[in-house]
Amino acid sequence: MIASEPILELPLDDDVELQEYQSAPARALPSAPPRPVQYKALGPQKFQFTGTGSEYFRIWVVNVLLTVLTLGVYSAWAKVRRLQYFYRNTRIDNATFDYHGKPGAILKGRVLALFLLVAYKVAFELSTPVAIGVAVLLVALVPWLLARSFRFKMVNSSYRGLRFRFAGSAIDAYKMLSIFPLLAAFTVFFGWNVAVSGVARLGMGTVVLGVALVILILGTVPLGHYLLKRFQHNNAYFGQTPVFFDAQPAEFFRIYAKAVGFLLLGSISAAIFGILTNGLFEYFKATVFGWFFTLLYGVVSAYAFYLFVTPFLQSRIQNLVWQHTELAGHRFESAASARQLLWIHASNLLLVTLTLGLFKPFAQIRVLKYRVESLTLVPDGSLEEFMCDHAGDNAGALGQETGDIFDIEIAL
Amino acid sequence: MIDAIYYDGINSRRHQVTLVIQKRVVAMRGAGVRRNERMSKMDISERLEHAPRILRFPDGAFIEASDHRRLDKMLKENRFQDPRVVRWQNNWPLSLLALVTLLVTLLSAWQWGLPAGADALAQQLPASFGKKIGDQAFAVMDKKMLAPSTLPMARQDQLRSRFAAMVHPGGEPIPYQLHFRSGRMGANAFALPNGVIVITDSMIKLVNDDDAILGVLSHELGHVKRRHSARHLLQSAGIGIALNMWVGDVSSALAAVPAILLNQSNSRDFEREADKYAIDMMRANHLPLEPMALMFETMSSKAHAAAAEEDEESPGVDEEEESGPAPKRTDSRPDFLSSHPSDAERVATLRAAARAAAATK
Repeated sequence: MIASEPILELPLDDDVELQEYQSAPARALPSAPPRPVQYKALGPQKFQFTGTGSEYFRIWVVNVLLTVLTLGVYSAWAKVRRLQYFYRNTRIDNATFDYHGKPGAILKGRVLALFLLVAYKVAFELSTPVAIGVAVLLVALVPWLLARSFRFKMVNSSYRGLRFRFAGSAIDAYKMLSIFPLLAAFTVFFGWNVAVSGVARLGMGTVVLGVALVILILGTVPLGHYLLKRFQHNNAYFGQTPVFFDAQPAEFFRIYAKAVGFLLLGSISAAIFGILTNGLFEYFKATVFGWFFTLLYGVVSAYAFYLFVTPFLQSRIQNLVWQHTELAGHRFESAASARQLLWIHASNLLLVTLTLGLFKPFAQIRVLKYRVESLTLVPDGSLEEFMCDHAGDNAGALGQETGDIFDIEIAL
Repeated sequence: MIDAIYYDGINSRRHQVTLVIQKRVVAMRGAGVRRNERMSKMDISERLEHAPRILRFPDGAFIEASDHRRLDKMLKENRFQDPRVVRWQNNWPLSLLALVTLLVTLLSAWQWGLPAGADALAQQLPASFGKKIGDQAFAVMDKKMLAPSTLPMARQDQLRSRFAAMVHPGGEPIPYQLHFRSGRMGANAFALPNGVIVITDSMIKLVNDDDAILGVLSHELGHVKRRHSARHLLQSAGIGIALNMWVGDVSSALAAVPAILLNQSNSRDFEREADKYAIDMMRANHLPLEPMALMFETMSSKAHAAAAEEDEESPGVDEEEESGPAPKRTDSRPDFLSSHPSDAERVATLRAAARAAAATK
């Protein structure tokens, strides 16, 4: 159907009421002459998020209650409602996104995942070799699952009526993730070496190996993150239009190196804080709640590191990834600030703890709103000329038929 | 008639249209586009406060309408009803009712559902499960915390044979192994899920009364009989999973703190259950309960003394599983935070049972 053509009125055969109704105002409608359409070029468009905590709270409460009462069956419907709330409240250029996942498909995936988990546990009880076999099988399935999960997510997302699409194959995923088994093998080798040489006398070899392992981990994680993002963005389509991703691994390394630097700085300040507050700590430890306080102290200090490094990585990686993503000449800009995110995460944590978890839906909306609204689309011309992908329809149907076998959540 | 936007699902072009729903037929028209469809064939999205509502045609094309007030009116006139869940979500009083229902459900699940479920599951678990966990735990403790007993063999055999001679209440005898140990645990006795019961030398020295020792051992046998270790593990796992879902991505680590607190009250119930078993067993064997009551009193006063001195090892009776020695027992700690019932309560229970026994004689 081409929009500029006059639309034929197809009378619905048996519906008299409809016919009557149509005949009257139809006359008033001028027949549109076919004309070339000129669209005005758009300026930069900020992403908007219109969801509110108070509205989402109600959706969340009903979702959780029904999930609990149905012993988890409702969780598939809850997921669809949640994602629809998030997608439909995200807009650029006054048009919203939409989510089309079917609860049935999600439920099938979850049942199968649960079944495999139980099977794994049972196998573990039966005998160790069987369990290892099942575990290896599951690990071997991960890349395939990853590709499928991306595909399900993309094909069920749309903007302006056009579906997204993901064309990454399982083979690509295997190639990408194969560096991780290498890392695991090296770790095992390292562990074995340390065990053999004996912890008592730390030889030069052990030290060298240890340093090599740290370098390897530092080298693999940013590279892995880069490859994952490349896999995700470079295989995505909006309708027929492919998405391009051109970030370099070096930029991921730079961000991770900074994060490690922050960790080191953080541990120095934490040590100073620990020394300064030692007296206070001892005082609390001596009270009746001492054991509880000790536990809390440990958990909180471990969490502080996580709290400080996560917003940094989250914001910098988001900025990096979107600044290097392009869709047919349309560019993205991302200006998420680590400091803002830190404030949001820290205040969320406090409020969630104080409200015994009831603040959680508000917290989710706050993070999402900030992250979405830090994005800007810089269009090249207008956004009116994307076409849907007809072949993509089949992929969509297939995707829904087979369902997302494992509904793995991988944050964007 | 309301203003809306139409997307045909084939390209991303925006069409300004007007929308009318009459006699359950959706009619849409704009420059060069015009469609009609029965309302029943269209997929009408759920109502969100700040997002446009979507009326989707069967072929995937859709109308986006942001004028909620007039669209609601139009839909209502055409007898369209939102699904019940959506009406529920859009209504504050009903959502708050859902919240109250949720909290009541979770509390009852924690109070009754979880213990009952863990109990049922624990009775179903194969004996090999308890044996595996128990054997591992015992091996670790033997290596790290326990040392061979210094009690004379004759004394060990005497206690062993006296305990073996006792009748187990409630039918079938329960398989167990009694071990004597010394070590860093202080005065303590505990049971493992594989049926191993351990009592420390300092405990025997501290109690110094055979009837009280048999009472302590009966209490531990109660833990074995009621499979408390497995139930404790299962309940912890259940609480952990539930809390993780509740707090979720915020922090799994923080969820560990309330998880420990939440399982304490269940663990106190286990102690009461084991006390009850010990009382039944002592009575079935016509043994006095008073020595056991005295023992708790002694321990309670010693614990107070120890708390005053601060660094002395406080005696704790009766830790099950690998949870280590009982935390310092100063009765000033509220019941809610403790893994064991207060000594006063246990003494009262024992004395009441002794009185009841005397009355029936």
